[in-house]
Amino acid sequence: MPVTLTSLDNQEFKVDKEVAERSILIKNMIEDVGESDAPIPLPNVSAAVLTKVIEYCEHHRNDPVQVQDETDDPRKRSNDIEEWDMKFMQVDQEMLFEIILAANYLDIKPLLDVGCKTVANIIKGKTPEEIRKAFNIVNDFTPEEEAQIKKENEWAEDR
Amino acid sequence: MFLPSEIWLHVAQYFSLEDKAASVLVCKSWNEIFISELYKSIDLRPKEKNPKETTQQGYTFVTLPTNDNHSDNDNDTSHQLPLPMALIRKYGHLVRELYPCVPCPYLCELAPIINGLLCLHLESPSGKKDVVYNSLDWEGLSQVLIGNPLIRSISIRRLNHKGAPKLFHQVAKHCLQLEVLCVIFSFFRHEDMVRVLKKNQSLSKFAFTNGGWFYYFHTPPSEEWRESIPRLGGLAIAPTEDDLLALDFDELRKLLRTIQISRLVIRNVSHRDDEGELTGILHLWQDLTDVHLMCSGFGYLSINALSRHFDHLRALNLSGSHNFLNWMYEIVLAACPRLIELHTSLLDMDALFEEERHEGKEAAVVTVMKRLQMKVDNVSVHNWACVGLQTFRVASLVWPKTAERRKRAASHLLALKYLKHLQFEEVSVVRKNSDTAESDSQLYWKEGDFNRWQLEEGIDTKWMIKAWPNLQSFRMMTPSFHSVVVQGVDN
Repeated sequence: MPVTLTSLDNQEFKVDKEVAERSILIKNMIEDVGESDAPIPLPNVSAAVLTKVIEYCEHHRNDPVQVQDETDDPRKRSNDIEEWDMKFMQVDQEMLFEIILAANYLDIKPLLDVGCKTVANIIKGKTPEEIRKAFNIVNDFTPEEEAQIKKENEWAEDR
Repeated sequence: MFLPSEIWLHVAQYFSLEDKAASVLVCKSWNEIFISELYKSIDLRPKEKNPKETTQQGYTFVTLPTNDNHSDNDNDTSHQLPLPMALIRKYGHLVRELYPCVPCPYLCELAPIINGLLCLHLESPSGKKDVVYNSLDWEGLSQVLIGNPLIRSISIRRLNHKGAPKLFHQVAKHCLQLEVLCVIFSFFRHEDMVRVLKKNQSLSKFAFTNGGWFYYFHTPPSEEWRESIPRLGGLAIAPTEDDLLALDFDELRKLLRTIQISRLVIRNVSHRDDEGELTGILHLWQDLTDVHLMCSGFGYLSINALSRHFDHLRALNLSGSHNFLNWMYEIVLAACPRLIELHTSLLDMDALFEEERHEGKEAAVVTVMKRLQMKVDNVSVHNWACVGLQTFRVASLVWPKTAERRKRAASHLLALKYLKHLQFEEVSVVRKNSDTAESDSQLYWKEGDFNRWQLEEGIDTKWMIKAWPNLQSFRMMTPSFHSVVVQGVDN
């Protein structure tokens, strides 16, 4: 039984219910409304982004539901992205951010995680200057402020 | 184009401390977002002696120091705080998670500043228990607890000291919002425990380790207990060897029928009836519906026991069973159709490599693990002969406790090089149970087989690099073992 999703720019997408329900937001909507042919409006997601999100959900349609990790290890790793996901995330930065925002809005936790891991991997190991370059950020600290923070950070650098 | 701060904080959970430190320097808005992350988790424990890092062709090999030559400096109580006091004064309110150093001369002073603490972890470095706890600042810890009545998680492990009951008395007196409490139970006075359960209505995870069993089953659980337990989502019981004899499964079954929990962990359950069957625990398996039950330490798991049907079993830890053969996984999976979580240390590498040689198959281990992975969502292997670190959530190579097993492990390490296509991201050999392992491993090493054999066989990091092109780091913390790994990595 397919579900129709409508993007911000009024494009309609027909997807399997199972695929759409990877999004907890949509799943809850369907549960609340019950069986209905009415399209589900997604006013926060553009067609381009929704296409990507659906591609992700299609590929992961049979994934088991994530079990809460109950290990004691709070250390999270960002280097365990599956190959397919890695390729999927090879998009320009704007699209990457859009996908993350959509995943957050649609409540698709695995996609949100993979997006955040991708962003984290861009940042990891970089110097502040390299991070600024990667995200096109202007350094708005005065040299004094910057020196002060650098000094405060010393403890963290040689740990 | 920017992300809202809550998403940046989600990103930050994958950062190392260095990454967080870099982030606060990027610009003012990033500083605002990430400064709380930088000071969120503070580890005041003394630094490990600098690990020696060597690189070759872009690979980093980290050698962690052994305890072999640890000097009296370890007992030195006057070491410096890694985080300067001035910074603690300025940012202490951002600290949510604290690993106090032991001993920590500043704890009393810190206590009123770190008033937003949510998690307190106290764990003694293995092998130095006495040193640690004799100089532990119990008063300071009490002050930390008094200053943070809304703390949510306290985990104090390997704690074995006369100061402990007093500290737990403070927990009972002050804590109101505990969700997780992981302590050595026997140090809790009964009335303190009841008090904790009554006051902390959100306590949902409560683990009591060694000693708990004894307390529990020699005095029947009181009514107060029974009322409080259902709120706990799970219960972990790990009897010691001695307590195991007193393990009364009928009693436990009765209790579990009156309460509702979603997760039960029982370790060391090698208790069997007169016929040598694990009747008690198997009945538990069948009894408990919708409970994640994890058991380990079965001793010999018989086929007879395994071939029954356990419809409800959701989680299983097979570790600690002897005589378990690889093909038995099929039986386990058939018997437990609802299994979603499997932990195991049982992979007979000998058999797998034998099979591989005979049938010309490559890496039968991978086949077995893939089959498991297909059926069970969460497979985790804790084994010195672990495989497929990337595919299966394997985090550690556990160095075996007995000399006999270590010998086997050494040969398996050699065998692992045949698994060429496996992609390891990180292999850690964590020395467990250093108290006992140290002496007999030294005995073993003194026999010299490994070092010599290693040279003869040419086990050095070069083959590792060849075998695992994606290997990024290889850590070893076993005594003597490190030299084996590092040799040959010099540039």
